Amino acid sequence: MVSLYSSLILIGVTIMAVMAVLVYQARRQARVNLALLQLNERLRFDLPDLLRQSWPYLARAGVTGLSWKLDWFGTPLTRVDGVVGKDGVSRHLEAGEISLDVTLWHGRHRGEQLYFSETLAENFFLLLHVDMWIKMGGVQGAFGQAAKMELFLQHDMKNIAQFIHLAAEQLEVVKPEQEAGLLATLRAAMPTARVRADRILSALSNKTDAKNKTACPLAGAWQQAADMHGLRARIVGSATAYIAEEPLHSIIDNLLINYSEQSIWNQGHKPASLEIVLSEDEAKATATLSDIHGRPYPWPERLFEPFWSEQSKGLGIGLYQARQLAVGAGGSLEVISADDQPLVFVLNLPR
Amino acid sequence: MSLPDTILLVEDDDSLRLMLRGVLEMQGFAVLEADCRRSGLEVLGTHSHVGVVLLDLGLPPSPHAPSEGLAFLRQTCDMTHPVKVIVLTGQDQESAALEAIKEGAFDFLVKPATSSAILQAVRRAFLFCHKEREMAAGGFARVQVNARISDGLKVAREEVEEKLVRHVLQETGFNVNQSALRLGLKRESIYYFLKKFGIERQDG
Repeated sequence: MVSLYSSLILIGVTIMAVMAVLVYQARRQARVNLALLQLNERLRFDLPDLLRQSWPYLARAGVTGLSWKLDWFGTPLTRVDGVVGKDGVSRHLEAGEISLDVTLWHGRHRGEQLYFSETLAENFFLLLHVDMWIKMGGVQGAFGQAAKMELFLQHDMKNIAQFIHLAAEQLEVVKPEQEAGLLATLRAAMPTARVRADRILSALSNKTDAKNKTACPLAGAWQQAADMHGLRARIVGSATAYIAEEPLHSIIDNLLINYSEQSIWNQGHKPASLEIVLSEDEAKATATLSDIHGRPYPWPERLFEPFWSEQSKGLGIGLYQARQLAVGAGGSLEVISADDQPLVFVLNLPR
Repeated sequence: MSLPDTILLVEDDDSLRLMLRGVLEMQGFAVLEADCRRSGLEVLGTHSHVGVVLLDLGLPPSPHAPSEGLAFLRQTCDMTHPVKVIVLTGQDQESAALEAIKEGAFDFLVKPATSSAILQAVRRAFLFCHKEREMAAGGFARVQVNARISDGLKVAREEVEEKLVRHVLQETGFNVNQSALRLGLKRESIYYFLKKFGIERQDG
């Protein structure tokens, strides 16, 4: 009997001891994982820095060696920390122009030690891969923005260049009897050329000139834009906003282009039929836009996310830009997405 | 007295459009203007004597992409009276030129182009336009087809059939009897083609 009790006590003590070891190891691993996450955040998710500075944390978790070979946008970087042994966990990670071969080494781990080592390695690899995607996302975003700016400049600057070429050529070859005609042409064309040049400068400096703000009747602006996009629109009410014409037209264009493209791409569905309700109070002019033939939108939370687009040809920046412009002008752009109802955009602009 | 050669300028940049107008008018051309696809097509619809269009591909509402200009080209090529379209654009040369040529552009000029290059292209386009109008008066229709050789003859033949049927229907104001007469077909055949190609009166 005594022997049975002794055995039970021994078993219990053993189980408790094993549990204590497991809890200790799990806690140590959790601390290391948390420390790596905090380190990554401190390093602003920079992959090369994380690779260089993560070794002390990994060593604390029982890792005996870390080796990595990084191709960072064409620049090779390599490093080995600790001792390179036989039993390692390797991974090849890629994202865009970044690729990484990384191996974590640990002693001859078995059982729970092997489990903890592998879990730590997987978490570490995931962290590295996330950093890669964050970097590539940033790079692609910057390129997208640059491409949009380039498109804009390409169109406007080539027009200016074409204008100057033609004007200079005509001034060179003009006959005396045609001089009055050329002068009349230049007199008519120059003011609009100056407006175009100002627009380019404004785009380059990325500033909206406050002095360009004016009282803009919204009904006309919406109707004109709807006609331009070939959209059927019923405008109810009237309102006047105090805003520069350029951002106002850009906001309206960016909102409407989604409806006109939906009409093009969703062949077979009813074309968009917009209802634009205008109202104003002392502080703001409000436009509420909805498509009476619209369908519920499955990803409303994505609408204002930059560079997210359903269409392969879209940059996915239109609504983001529209909201930025509205906020920049002292207003707001919101979307209401109710179950089984089409989207409703609410644009508030200062009066 | 015959009308002077008339050009339609489709360009959304007001200053450049005015400048181009000045250059062309000084050379004796009559000039009409439009600042977007829709107004350009309206002008063409109401002024059948327009022989040449000088077209910017980047038009509102998408001034930074060639889509509007290419759509204008496509719709212009389906018109009954011959119109030559010269593309004058700042769009990316490689892809835009290929697309424009596919859609039936007569010439492709990249901004900034010299006035002599523009005038040369315009005069050449008018020469072709006049000759095609003479051909049209003699009962000929010029049909342009982009055929992929590997698709075989049947596809190309059907495209030619469709374009000819559409062309004649437009010319006759969608009169099936007259169209059948002109094409030397039975009325039933015209109805067959209407169904086969999904031709509706409003898209003619």
